[in-house]
Amino acid sequence: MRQYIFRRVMISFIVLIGVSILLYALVRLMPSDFIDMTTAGNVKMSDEVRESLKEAYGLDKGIVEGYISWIWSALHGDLGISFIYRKPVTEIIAKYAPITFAVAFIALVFEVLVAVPLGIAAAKRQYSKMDYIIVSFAFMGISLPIFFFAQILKRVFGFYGLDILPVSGMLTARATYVSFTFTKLLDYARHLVLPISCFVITSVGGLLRYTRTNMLEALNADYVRTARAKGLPEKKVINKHAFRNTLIPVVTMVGGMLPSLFSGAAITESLFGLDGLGKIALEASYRADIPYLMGFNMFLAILTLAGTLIADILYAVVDPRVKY
Amino acid sequence: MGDKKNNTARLREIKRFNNKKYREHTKLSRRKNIEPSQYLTEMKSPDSILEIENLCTYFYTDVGTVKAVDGVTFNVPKGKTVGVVGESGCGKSVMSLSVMRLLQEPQGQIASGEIRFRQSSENRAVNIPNLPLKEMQKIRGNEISMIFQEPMTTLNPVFSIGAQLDESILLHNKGISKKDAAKRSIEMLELVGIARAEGIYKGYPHELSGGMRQRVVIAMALSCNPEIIIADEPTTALDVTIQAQILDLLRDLKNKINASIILITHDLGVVAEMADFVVVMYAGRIVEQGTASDIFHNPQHPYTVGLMKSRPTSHGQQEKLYSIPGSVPNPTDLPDFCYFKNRCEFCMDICGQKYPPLYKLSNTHKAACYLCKDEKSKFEGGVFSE
Repeated sequence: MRQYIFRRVMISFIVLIGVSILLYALVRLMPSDFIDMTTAGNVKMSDEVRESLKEAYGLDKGIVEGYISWIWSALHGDLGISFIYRKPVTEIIAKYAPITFAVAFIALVFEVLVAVPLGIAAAKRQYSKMDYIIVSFAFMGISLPIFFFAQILKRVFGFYGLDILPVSGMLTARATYVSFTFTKLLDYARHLVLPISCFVITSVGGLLRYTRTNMLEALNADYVRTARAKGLPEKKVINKHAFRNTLIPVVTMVGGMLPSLFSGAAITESLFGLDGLGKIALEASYRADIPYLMGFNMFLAILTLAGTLIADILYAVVDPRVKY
Repeated sequence: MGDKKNNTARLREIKRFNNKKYREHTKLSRRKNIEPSQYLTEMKSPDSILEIENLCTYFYTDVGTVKAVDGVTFNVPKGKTVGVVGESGCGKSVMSLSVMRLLQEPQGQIASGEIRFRQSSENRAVNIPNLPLKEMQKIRGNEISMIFQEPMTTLNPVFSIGAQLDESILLHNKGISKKDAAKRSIEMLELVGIARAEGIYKGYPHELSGGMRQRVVIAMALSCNPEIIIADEPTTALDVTIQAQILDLLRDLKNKINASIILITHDLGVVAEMADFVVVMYAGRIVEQGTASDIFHNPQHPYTVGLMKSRPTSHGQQEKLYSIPGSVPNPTDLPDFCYFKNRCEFCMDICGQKYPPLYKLSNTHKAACYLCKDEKSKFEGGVFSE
């Protein structure tokens, strides 16, 4: 097991190098660069000044040359300085990642808590009213565009509607200077209700339907019939025998969802004004902030690889047939 | 165009009918507080442990009602083996699943008939189709247990063999400690001829071969000393050398715990070796039943005769194996006359009339064929005995 993990980490490292080459090429191929965008419309700016600025930002180098210097410093732990924020990228990520991570993690927990029980409930009574209601709810969630649904939620629960929940930001202005207390925590929670429910509702459908399909398959399996033939009560047949087998594919899927939660955060965070990595990433891609984009995307790539590794390890935990 | 319209209307009609049946079934199965008087019954014969009378099990499918079992009647005497034979799809598995109430509900339902079971632990006789699920769960695995035909998929892949064995022992023996259950499980594994039982106890199903898994399934079925063992093609998925071992094992164990066996198979050789009584099924109905020697030495129904002929023999010089011509009638649209009529080489005019009743040929031997109607007198007076 330890050897397997070690090997996987080594392979991941090689994959990351490949990913970084692709990412750097794509980011540099963007039609415009930071200097052109910032100085556009500024009549006082001469071409020479522009060129010297580009040189100062390292944008005068070709893709290959630029990549080599990026990867060299990246391997030394330096991801460069963000063009927009003028701070080291590592510092920005370290500062804002906890927020994104907390939001994503809470969303993931809620998603699993909603999707798995509902998926099982739907599968237990296939083609019943309950099943149809749950499945149409899931489809509605899948089909709703997140930017549209977010606005509806804001309109209904926010200031212009019921006025019971804040629509943006992380804290009420007054609470910012209060020391850490229960009220402050509650204020955080209130601000996160809308973004998290928006996130959960729009993304719960996939996992729900996946759980339902796998549960249906398990319920038709021979071992479930054996469990019934033993005389086990129906609850135990479903919650023990069928569920343990449904868990195997679901665990793999949840592991794979980890990075998508972070990339999805780019839109949610911007819509609800949360200070997370995603919001900054969206801004960075508008303005071609190459160091930050590289840093953020590499962070996502690492999360993807970590997610699959965790899923594979969990796979061995829930399925005795899998051994590393 | 008109045809298509008709067809759509017909399918809609079927759908409506099925939905009605499903609703009725759900309502029935959700009912609470069922009075014991609704499921208590009397056994007709003193020495039988299970009596199936006029059992009809239907599947309400999208293309129409499939009468998988249609009016099956037979008794299982205490301590005897009843072999149920017939080709694939004749309803023998559905019959056994009906006894266990393990049908795919609500599509499959016991439409009518009685399955009377002598529940000696409670000192009473119950009618299984009317039994509340809670009561049924006390019988399943405890007094009636089942061995399934696919050992590769019957065991749950994510639980250890030991956990799966312990489960039914703990369930049906109130107050037994986990340690004692484990001890009993290991005993059972040894009983079914598994060497290194303690190692296997900790192992998982995927680590075992098909024959070993079937032994585990048998151990599981026998762990609560059942009164009836339903073996649904227990050897079909196994190779021939293991088949003989498993059958020997079943026979030994049956004698040890004095259980009755309902042996479901399409292998006549297996039946000949194991069964005291034989029931031959065709398209959901019994075509012939009797003691093993009745069926093997004196088959009366042309279908039984055909089955016997299509068995490979070890001594004969047959070049090609006999096969019954034609195929089974469409199960959603069965005719009124004998289902075997179109495949039968002895077909007569009378066969076009209504389905023949079971004619009694001797005290034990019955056959549903008009041939036997005429020969009834011929066989009377014990001429028929061996």
